[in-house]
Amino acid sequence: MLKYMWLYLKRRPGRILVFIFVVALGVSMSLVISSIFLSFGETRSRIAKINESWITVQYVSESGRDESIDSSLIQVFEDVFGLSDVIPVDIAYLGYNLFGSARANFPVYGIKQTEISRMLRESNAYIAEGTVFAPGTNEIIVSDSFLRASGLDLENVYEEISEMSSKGLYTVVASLAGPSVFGLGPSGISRGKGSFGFLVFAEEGFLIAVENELRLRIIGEGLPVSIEGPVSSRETLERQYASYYLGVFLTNLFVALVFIIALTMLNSVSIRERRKEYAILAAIGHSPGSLKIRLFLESLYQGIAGWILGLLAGGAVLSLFEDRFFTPNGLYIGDSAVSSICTLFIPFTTIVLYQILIGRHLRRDLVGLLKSSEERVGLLKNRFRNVGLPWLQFPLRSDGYRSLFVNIIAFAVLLTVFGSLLSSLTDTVRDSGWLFNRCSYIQTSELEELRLPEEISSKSTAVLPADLLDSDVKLMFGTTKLFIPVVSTEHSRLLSIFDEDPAAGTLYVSRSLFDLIVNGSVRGLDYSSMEVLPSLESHAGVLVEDRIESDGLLVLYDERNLAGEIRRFASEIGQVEVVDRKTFELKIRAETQFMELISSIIIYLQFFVVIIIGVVTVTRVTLARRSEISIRNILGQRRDEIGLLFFGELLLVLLTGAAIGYLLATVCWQIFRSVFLQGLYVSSIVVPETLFRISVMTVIVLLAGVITARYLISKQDPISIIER
Amino acid sequence: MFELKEVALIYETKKQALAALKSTDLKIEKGEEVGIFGPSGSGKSSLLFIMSTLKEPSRGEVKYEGKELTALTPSAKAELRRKEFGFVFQEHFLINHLTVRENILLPLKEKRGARKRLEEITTALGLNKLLKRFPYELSLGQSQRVAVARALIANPKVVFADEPTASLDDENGSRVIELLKSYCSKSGATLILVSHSSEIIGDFRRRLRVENGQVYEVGVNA
Repeated sequence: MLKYMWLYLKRRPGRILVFIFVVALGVSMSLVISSIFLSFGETRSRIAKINESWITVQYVSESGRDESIDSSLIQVFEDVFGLSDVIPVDIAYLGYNLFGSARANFPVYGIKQTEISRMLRESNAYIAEGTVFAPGTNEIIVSDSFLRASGLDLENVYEEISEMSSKGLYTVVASLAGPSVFGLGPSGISRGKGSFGFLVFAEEGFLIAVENELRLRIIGEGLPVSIEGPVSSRETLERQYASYYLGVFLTNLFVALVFIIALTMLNSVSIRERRKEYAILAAIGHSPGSLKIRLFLESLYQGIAGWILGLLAGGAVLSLFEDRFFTPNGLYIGDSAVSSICTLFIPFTTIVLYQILIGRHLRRDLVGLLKSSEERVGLLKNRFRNVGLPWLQFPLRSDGYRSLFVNIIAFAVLLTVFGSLLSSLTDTVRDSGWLFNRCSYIQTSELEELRLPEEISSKSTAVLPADLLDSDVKLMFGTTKLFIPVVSTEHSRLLSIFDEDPAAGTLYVSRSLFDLIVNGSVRGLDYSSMEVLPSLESHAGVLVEDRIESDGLLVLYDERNLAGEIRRFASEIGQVEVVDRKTFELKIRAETQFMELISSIIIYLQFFVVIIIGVVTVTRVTLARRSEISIRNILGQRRDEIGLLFFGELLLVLLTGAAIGYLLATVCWQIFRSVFLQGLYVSSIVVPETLFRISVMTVIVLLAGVITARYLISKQDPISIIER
Repeated sequence: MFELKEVALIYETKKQALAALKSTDLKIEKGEEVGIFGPSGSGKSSLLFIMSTLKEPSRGEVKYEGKELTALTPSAKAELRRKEFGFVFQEHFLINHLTVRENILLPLKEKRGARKRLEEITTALGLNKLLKRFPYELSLGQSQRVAVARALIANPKVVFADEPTASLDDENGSRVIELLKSYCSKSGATLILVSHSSEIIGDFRRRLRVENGQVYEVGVNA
């Protein structure tokens, strides 16, 4: 057996090595991509797991601690288990940029300094670097991964770069290491506005029981507080990460499918070329069963060789990524053992498909098998017997282009579905900023004292008091923020988007935002009624209230460069936050750059694979038609005529395949969305980008095919058929 | 019609030069019926290929109706083959995914009048009922008759036949030879037929023997 394989390797080294190389490429790509995605999940789950160490009971307040809620809660705690295991906290949330794959927030607990050691003990964390914070300051301790992810050093001023530009909010004095991601700071960290409450501790094994008991009691009391502990943490993890892991799974599935199709096509070519060999082996006494085993082992050895090679290559790339990418960006690498085992899907499925293909051929009788090695006609020949158009004759009556046709359909489907899947994240961030193309929101705690300079107010079309509502849009890979200005009915007409007087309590939204809200993709919006406003585009919305507690100004303008002047003004006076066009540009860069990079890599990888398969298939088709080229040339058809015929055939096959693939993908995607992705924002089919990608793919394959065909035609000696 | 002067075909390898056809002078007139025979590898097919523009001679001149064939571009040669030459080979060389009708019509650039000509020729060759079939649905004899029909459809001035009967039984072989001769005698076309057997071309008016690359005139039948 091994000797036979060695002979085959010597005879066809290119074919075997290409097969092993493609398996290795697929396995390494799959390993690296899944590890990258899983590292984001791992980091997020470490943030979420903080509530497995204690129970957080919290409420939101605009003006510091609420004494009545506090006293009610203390009463509940006393009733349940005494007060010894409870500490009061206020909570600020810091944004954690997962290297351009959307953001995550982790809590910074404002506590007494004396509680630090307890917090560290309960969460198995330790101070890796620096010292504890000083009471009454803005000093905080954060996880070391957050420091790395934000590119900060100790004692550097932390600036939230994505959502609000705030200078000097915190000073980071120490870093925490451990299995959970959280921060610690002095009491009063939330600056009188934010989340307040208590952390509740319990002996190991009793935390779940305490959480359930607390939940029952607090719901019974009707207190406006939320409880997060191991039970809710697990539920949240399951709810949030079901879609995340579905996304990781789908991404890997599509990557794997590209390679499985490519490998199956290679196997299909191999089977066709080796049919005569199978027939001869059968003729000298090999049973179909023994032949199948022989070929199974052959593909198994190749698959294992490719898999091992892929794991080694993928492992090398991963270790490079870990040093250069994961660690410097504060990401925890996921469990690569699971990813490695998952990559078996590629060689395993390919081997199974190979066995099915082989089985189909070996089921024939010996004579049929021998004859099949000469077959060049397709299943549909009789149906298209009367087709008179030369460009359609070969594609319709023979199976010569079948593999290319199937490839193009499959790749058009993959490009369309995959492009739509990944573009959802970028599109949401981009689309959410539409309203801020012509306005800037300035937020400050001292609004009464804010005076806009003359050069800004003179250039603006209107300045109105407003509040800013933010809510989360749930994506396949995390969440992103949506900003909705809240304006009073009195000032709403200044926005110039209403034809009639708006109604108080109504959320006016664009059609697409309406769909998002109805689908449950948007969370955290509070409104009485909702109405679609045709003058709003993308994911834009405005909430109109009778009266608003404004803490900001909405500056409207026609000149877009006024946004820059407003930003400069805000940075000069400090303690002012600005949301404008640039906010979204920064968000796009921060939240989507890595996704775009990954999707580009995958899409270009698909291109690479498609081109390889396209060239191999086209060359094979043309090679199989060398006799026809000779015959046509002997009978007086010029080379350019034959070239034109081949070009026409190729063009028809590719265009038809691409169109069928695109239509098929559109239908599949809509069904898939409605069944599996409800409540998530995923873009619909991205028409321009997808069509562009499919067109580029089609043109490249066509060009490769035409060049190969022309080369073969120009080299083809008419007499060669006779001499052969 | 054909005039060959000192035509030779030499295959050169690194070690040696092998002459498939040695310096040959030959004239063939319009309407002649020429049979070329000789053992395998003697150079008879090389001679046919050179005359039909399928192969370039290593040296010498090949003229067809006064035109130097070696000076023609590949496109001009293709055009000449399409308009003036017809070919029949030992193998039928039909295109598998084309029907019999499409195979026969392949050499015709101008489709006007094709239907009438097709009807005439397929009636003469007994192919009327096979027109919609594919080549793999035909017997060897039928396939070769289709190849003859394809060779004759454009009313060629010269018909080149290279071992057209080698893969056929005697009955079908004789039928193919008769068809070719009949066409040429009626249309005044030139027939140049190559065979390894002298019997097959026994009644040809002019017979040439090729041996070791040399062409010998054997004789002319009355």
